[in-house]
Amino acid sequence: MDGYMFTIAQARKELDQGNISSLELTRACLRRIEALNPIIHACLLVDDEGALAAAALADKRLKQGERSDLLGIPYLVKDILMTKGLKTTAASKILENYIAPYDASVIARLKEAGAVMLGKTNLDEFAHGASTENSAFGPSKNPWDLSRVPGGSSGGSAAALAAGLCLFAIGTDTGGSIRQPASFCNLVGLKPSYGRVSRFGLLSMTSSTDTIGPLARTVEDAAMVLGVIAGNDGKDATTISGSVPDYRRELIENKKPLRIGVVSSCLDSGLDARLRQSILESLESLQKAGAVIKEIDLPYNKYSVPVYYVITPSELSSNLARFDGIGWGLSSPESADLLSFYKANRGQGFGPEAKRRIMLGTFALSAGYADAYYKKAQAVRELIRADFQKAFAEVDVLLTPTSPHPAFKLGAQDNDPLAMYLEDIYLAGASLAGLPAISVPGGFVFEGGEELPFGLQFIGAAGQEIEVLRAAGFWEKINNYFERRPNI
Amino acid sequence: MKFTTDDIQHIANLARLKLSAAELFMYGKQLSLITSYIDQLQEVVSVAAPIDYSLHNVWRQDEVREWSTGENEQALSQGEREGGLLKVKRVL
Repeated sequence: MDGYMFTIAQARKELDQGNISSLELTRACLRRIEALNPIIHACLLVDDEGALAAAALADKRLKQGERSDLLGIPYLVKDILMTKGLKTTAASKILENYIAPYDASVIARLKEAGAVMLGKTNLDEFAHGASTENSAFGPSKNPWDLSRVPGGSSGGSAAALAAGLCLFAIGTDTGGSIRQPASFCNLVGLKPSYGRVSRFGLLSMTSSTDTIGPLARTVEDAAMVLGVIAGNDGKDATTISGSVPDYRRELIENKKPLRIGVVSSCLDSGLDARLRQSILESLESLQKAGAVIKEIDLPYNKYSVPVYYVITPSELSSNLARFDGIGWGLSSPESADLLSFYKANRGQGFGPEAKRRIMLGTFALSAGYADAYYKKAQAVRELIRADFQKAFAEVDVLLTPTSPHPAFKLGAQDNDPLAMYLEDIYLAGASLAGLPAISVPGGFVFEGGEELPFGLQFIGAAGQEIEVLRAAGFWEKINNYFERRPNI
Repeated sequence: MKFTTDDIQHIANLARLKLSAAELFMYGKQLSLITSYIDQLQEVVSVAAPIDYSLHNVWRQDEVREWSTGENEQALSQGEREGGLLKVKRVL
């Protein structure tokens, strides 16, 4: 197999035994980027020089006998995390030429661990979207079918990993933005609990639900990345204190029987019939393999999308207020006074979806409407959270589809913002409640002569990434979907 | 909620966004549609206070820490400078 298609665990073995060097692996990925990025448009920036220097350093550390999970492993990161000395654009014109003065904590940890950053990946502008079509620099394409979206907002990360441009990719998930692209591209995508991974250096969208996590080829790989990026950080007061479990070891050694809750309302008419059939069969396989399956009711979960699309625009309208054209970013000098200067910079700098969300949030927080919208949404959010709490008294994880359908065509939904918001129907609940959730390859359907992947989601109780990884690992062992790669 | 063009213009002013006439029209239609979907929340009986969820404050010492001059320079160099300061538009 070509090195760029290795899992992290495979590459780890080859690197540790000296069969391959980090430089060779990094060069293979860079060549792959050069060949395929013009086709799938997954990367916004490629840092050849920085990557080769980091790989040479990793090789030196390996030669000196150092061994650790990500030492010498090449990766890509969503262009919404600050990377010192490199452009950080959030796929927005308002930050087109912005150079980050420091590294996000996640980037600093990966650097220290010896992982090799190859570059930055495409996303929906400021992570607002579910397809990458809101990127100011054009959409990414799905390697399984180039006429389809890779999902979003971490769609560049997913497309890149699926096409073999890197060995893992970092994404962010505020309401499904790691899990949904993982589902569309046949990958494992892990959204950690709120506060498990430091948000320092992440360009904030929804401060109460933003999380950072890995897109990987296997559950074990996701566990290896999480182990490096997770942990308390003095620069983010919302990070969980206490030590980080050894996720990889727990995944391999913890054989406790699994209790899986199935949310029947997630399998109703909103779901593609082919996916429903396949998921019902998957439940049988899980049961045969020894999992206990129990039906669970989450009565308030149906309100998670309307709640999410009040909370998220409200928080981001405030977070994006800092982009005013002063100090950095796009600036239009001809305005007469300060107010028209602000309005011109922001009117020109933000794309249509960012402006739509800023307006929606400004409205939901405005005098006379905040009680009916923002405060009401916060109150219903508590009911959604309480539903989950009750459920996890009975089961270890909940199983739902990740998305209601496989990847859709580019342009199919970009004029219908509400349809795009409904992409988050199975995903927003875990985000609002701050819970860990994972999407794993769940099967394939035929569409237009192409085979398209779709994902299964496991949700766990707060802080229980281990249970989520265990469930995903258990599922991964009884099928071989994760081994399939797109023909590109 | 049904938004008129004046409503949208008012929200755009609050949000500090200059919008074209076409944008005002489009956002009026779209925000009306989105908020009427959100209005289903009104049917939920809910209480204002959290039900069973404890939040706590996180404190740290208020101490001065050095920040790298290089990073400071990099941060400041991206705006218009005058002397050692960042130049902004006149406020008053």
